[in-house]
Amino acid sequence: MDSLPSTGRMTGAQREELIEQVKQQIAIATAQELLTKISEKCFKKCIIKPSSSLDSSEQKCIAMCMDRYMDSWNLVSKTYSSRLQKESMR
Amino acid sequence: MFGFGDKKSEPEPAYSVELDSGAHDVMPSSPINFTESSSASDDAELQRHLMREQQRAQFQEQINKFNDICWETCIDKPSSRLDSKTETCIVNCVNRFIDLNLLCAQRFAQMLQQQGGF
Repeated sequence: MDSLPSTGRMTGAQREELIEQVKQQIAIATAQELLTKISEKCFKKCIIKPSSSLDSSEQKCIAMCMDRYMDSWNLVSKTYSSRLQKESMR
Repeated sequence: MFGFGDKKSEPEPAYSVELDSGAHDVMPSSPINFTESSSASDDAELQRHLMREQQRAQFQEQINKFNDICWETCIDKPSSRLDSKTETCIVNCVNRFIDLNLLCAQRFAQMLQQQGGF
């Protein structure tokens, strides 16, 4: 990582705020990306033939699809974490 | 649930997206301890924190990619829960994808060696 611009004149509170801002921006970017992915994936799974409105079965499918996508995300996260841990011990 | 919004109203999640317990937390947040006047050690501390956030973002990016691929591979029709067969498929999918990645990296390195680099 390149060295950051001098932060010599920042106070402790400003530093904390900077980190807080970075965290928030990453969180927002992650949420947006996840939402985009969920929309893309669940459109593919649930909307076979777009009609004049989302019918109740499509709505149900979308809700389940979203929940399962999050389940899957968490399982992938867990699996990747334990793999990383295993690899680092080799 | 995405770790933003109302500040300090609840303990911070390990990742920005974290629905279940922190059992697989490999990068826990460390508390921030800056002194009021800035010093060289504060600069190092700040860099350390920012680097950590960058790592966390990369980690999440990787999970997004894996999930994208494994969702396509393992999920046919979304149902009311992930059954054990699907769970096994996802776990295998992630691990085999990493295996494949390592294998390709190895072969690529060999190829470069044989050709004497780029």
